Amino acid sequence: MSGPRGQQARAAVLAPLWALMRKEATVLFASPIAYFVLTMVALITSISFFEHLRLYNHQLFLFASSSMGGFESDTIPDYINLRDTVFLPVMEQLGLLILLPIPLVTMRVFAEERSLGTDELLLASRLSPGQIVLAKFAVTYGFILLMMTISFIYPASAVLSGGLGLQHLAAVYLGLVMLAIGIASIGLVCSAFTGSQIIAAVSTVGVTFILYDFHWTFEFVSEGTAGVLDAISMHPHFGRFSEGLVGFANVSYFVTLAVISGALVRFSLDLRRVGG
Amino acid sequence: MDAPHDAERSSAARGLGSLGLVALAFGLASYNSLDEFNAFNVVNMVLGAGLVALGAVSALVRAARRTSHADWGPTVESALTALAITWAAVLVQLFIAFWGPRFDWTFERRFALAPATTEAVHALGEEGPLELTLYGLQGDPRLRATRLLLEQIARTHPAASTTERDLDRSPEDEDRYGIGSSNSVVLRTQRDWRLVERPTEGALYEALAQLQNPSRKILYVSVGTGEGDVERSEDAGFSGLKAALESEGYRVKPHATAVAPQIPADADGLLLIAPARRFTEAALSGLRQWLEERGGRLVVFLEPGRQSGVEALLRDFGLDSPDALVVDPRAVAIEGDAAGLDPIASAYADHPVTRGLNANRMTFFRRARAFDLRKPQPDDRVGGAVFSSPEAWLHADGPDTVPRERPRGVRGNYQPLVAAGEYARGDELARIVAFGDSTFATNRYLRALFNLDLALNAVHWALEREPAITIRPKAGGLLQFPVPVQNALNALYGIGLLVPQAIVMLGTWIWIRRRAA
Repeated sequence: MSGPRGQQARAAVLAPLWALMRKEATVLFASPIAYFVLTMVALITSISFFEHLRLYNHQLFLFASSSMGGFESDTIPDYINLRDTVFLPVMEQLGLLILLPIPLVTMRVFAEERSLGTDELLLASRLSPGQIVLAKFAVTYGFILLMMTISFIYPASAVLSGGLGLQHLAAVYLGLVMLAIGIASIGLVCSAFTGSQIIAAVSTVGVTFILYDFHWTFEFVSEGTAGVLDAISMHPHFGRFSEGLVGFANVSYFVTLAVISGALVRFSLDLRRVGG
Repeated sequence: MDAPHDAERSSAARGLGSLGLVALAFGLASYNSLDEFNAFNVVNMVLGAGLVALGAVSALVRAARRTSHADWGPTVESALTALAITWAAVLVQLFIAFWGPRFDWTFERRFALAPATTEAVHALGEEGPLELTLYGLQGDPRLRATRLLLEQIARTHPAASTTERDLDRSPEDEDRYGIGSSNSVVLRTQRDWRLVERPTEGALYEALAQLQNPSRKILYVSVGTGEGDVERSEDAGFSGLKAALESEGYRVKPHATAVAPQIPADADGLLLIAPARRFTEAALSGLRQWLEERGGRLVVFLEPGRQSGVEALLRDFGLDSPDALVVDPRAVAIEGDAAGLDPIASAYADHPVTRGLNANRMTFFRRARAFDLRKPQPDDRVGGAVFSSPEAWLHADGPDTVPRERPRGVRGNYQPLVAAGEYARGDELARIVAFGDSTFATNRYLRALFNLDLALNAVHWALEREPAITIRPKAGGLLQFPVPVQNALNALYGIGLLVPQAIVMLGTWIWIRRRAA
């Protein structure tokens, strides 16, 4: 579509979408929860990363001290390395840490509208259910990205000050961003199917916890079933980033989760439209 | 159905679902913490799953009752759309999971396989299925990295596949393959298998190379004239070289050249490692005859300061090596040597021996002599393979008198540290690869930089196994660099705490402004 008419049509589609996104962002950043979440994640990341880095250095120098033979003597055990001593445990801790604040952010996105009855106004507006989903998902994902970027600043500066490159840490953070997007997607679905923010938050934690890792079932299921469960659980996909391995398959797992969540939320809006 | 009754049911369904999720979460958390089933977590999980199912069914029934028949069409359409999107997304995910590329962002490129590994997998994959089975115990943290490495290897050829077995559940395999510990890998082809108990890429490559089962050529190693010892496992020994040669398909046998001047008839090649004493004339004559009349294949490591008679023999083949040390100003001083005596070579000729080596794949020599090259006959092919930097010169007065600067009037030049020659004599074709240093292949230095590749590729070329020439996996660094804690602490106070503080201040300010408004 081109020319003035095309521009007008595009503006007619984009203007309400943009307005909804602005409204969502304003509501989000007007709430103290947003700042609380940003602060806690950044603070805990910084402290956790520093503590692991300190422990890693302590172990490294203990084994590499002159009495043990020094750095050249091959006396440092393989397990003492940045990946296993710092990146992996920090990533595991942060993976579980973000399981708590993200539902606080997503719980209100749809549930609040539903409890206040403003969702009916929204559904009666010029926006299609698909556009509503797009706008709300975009703002939530934007916040997630901001949260993870802020928490990335300290680890990045610490690693850079040690004279190391950022690529491995970037892989770790890409994994965390993907996991956060996955949790947020589940949170948005939970928020869309209830009018209670508490139920939305609790069910997000519950569903994420169940979907997080099916490894516990492997003892009593067949290998084929274990393979399927492994493929649908979050942890195996997210964990690979900590190894420094960025695979399209792992990125696309979380993208798929987001797409399916979008479809489910859209379905919930359609249900709401017909009074479900 | 009246509205209050319906609202009551709706609330009950949600309540059941929520209670179920809480029970499930507690059950799973308890199991994950204790790593065992007990009454608490089993009851919670069963009860939770039941309540969630009950809540879901109740909600569905309620929705069906509330929806009028006129609304079914759009509802079903919406449900089908959601279902179609879900299926499409899952199919795309499956496709990407199977074919999607992966990028190695590790510092040491841990998952970028060496050409040797991919070539070995290809060669075996062309013959038939190659199974890589990882045996491990639950909770072994090493399995994670091994699993990824095996996946990466299996991706290089469609015939290669990887599976994982719980060691506790596979007692038969444990006995059959002699598996002694968790994190062991069994590589199996149709005709053979190998067990790798510390599965690094290098160890897996060695097993793959053994499975390839090439026709095993016989390589004799000269002994009895003060040569380097391929049985000695200390730093100064050459047992690492022997093990690597055997891994790559050679049968390594000793040959006492001094007492048995004739090279054995079954010899595919002869390895001479820095003989310290002088060869007998009969031995040198036997060696010459073997090269000229029987198309002998010789790989020889010389050492500065030694004259065993082999140097004179090599001179006749155009590989003259004056007894002088190469001094390369670009080399740093190590282990008490004068600066320049231990060249790190990064200049390579275009020759099969140096295939895969380049300016970033260096080789390390300790006190080397250089070669002065010429063609004994017009059709002979003689040339340098590895060179020092162009500023290097030769110093003939021993390692203790090396001047700091290049003497006036002495020109720097690329000094050949390794040379190779090919000689057609009658119907036979002789090949010689000569190294100006033997220390570079000792156990201490063999795996430094790309020394192992150069040494093995030289043998492969000399013995006409060019397809085996490759670059092998390197033992990657394990990110064992110290990160200065003081720097990290400064960054913590500088940025790590400042950023959260700024967010709190911003949030407080906005909150106060809103309250005031």
